[in-house]
Amino acid sequence: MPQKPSLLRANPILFSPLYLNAEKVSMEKLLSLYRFANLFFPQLGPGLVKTILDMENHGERLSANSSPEERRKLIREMKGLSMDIQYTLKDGRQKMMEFSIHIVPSEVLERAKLGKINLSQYQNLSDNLDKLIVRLIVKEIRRRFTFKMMEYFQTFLKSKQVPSFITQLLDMGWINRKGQLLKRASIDDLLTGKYREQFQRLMPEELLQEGMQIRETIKTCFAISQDNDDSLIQGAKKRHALLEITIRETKKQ
Amino acid sequence: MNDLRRLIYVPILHAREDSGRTASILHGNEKNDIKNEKNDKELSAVDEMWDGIATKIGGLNLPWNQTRIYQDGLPVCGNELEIVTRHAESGSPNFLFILDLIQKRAKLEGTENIDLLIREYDLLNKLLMKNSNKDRKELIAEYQAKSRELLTLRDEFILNRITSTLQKGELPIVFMGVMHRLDKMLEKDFFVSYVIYRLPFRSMGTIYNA
Repeated sequence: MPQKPSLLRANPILFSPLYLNAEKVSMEKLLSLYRFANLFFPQLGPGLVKTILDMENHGERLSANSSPEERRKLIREMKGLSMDIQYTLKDGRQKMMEFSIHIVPSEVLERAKLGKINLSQYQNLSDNLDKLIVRLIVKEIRRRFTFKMMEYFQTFLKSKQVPSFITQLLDMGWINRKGQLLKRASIDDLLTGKYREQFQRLMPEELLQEGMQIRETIKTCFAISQDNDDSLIQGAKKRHALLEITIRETKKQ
Repeated sequence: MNDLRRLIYVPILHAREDSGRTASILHGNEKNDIKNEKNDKELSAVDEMWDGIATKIGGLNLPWNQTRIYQDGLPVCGNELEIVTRHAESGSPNFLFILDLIQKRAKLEGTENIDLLIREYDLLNKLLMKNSNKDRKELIAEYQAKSRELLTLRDEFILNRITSTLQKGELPIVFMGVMHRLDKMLEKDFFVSYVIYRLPFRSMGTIYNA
């Protein structure tokens, strides 16, 4: 079996090991997939983890209903066995996204036997899954948008009368002679910032619309990754309040 | 292995309302916060978690008059019962449950070093200070690093506290935040038995205190 990249870039986490076959994630149609997933599978990441949890729950029941010797025997006999569940999304015959969940039953049983749960591992798992998907989406939508813009820039660059705004972008090093948008270019500045007016005059309405949608999507994606810090601050406020009461009560003596 | 004493370990989430549902804190924004829908969902998830923990512990049929309770955030100070009562009155499901166990004749034990808790409080103060010039990310990273160090010191103190206060024939029940690594330390002296109630994953994410 080919080595699958671990989601956590480490050994399998406690409980059922989960791997994301990131190399298999196709870059095509990710924006529409993101919108679709938001509508129909708002809990895609947690949903996958829940599948694992359900399996583990079952493992616990199995563990509780058998003697220690039986459990040890079962674990021993299952050593080396593994199981893969594939979540695949296809566009026609083309695979768009594929998750591989790699399960080692003996490890699942071993952990169920120990009866230990580390909730922070689940949290990490969910967060990492979210971050990975967000990174892929951001990368893809940027690529698609810059590719679309390149077509227009190329057209302008080939024309006899190159618009002054395009010359300006060339001088600023935002685009090159091939019309490719370069790293230092700010899509935000073009769409909504200081170059908005010139950009709107040159570019067709549908491109601007798509750009705005993409911008919104990126913003949403970044909002997801910001959420952890917000949760931490909220948790910190509550812990602060708890300690405040505790310390005050302690001093009453 | 057979000589090891049993210890019941309850990993808990530091949920928002552990600080009390009516507690007024900091800049007075929390009263407004608690009204919003997100918080309602969290309240429900936290209630569900504590109902689950209570059911699981109830099912263990523990000898309550021989059970000693150790609680995350409860300092050794002589005012332990007052602190638990105060938090329970504020609506904390964690402390309400502890109070219930005390009524069943379980013994409450001061668990934490107050100096370390004050240090944690100071750290949180620094993190939450709005007039700080430091970048938020930088502050969070600093807080996380320092709180990890503090957590180890707290765990060491709690371990000593449990081993030195537990009487012969008594069963310890430990309520400790999931970020603690106390259970690993306890494994040398105790057979650690875990009581866990699983939250729905999504709900857990929103109330998790990382």
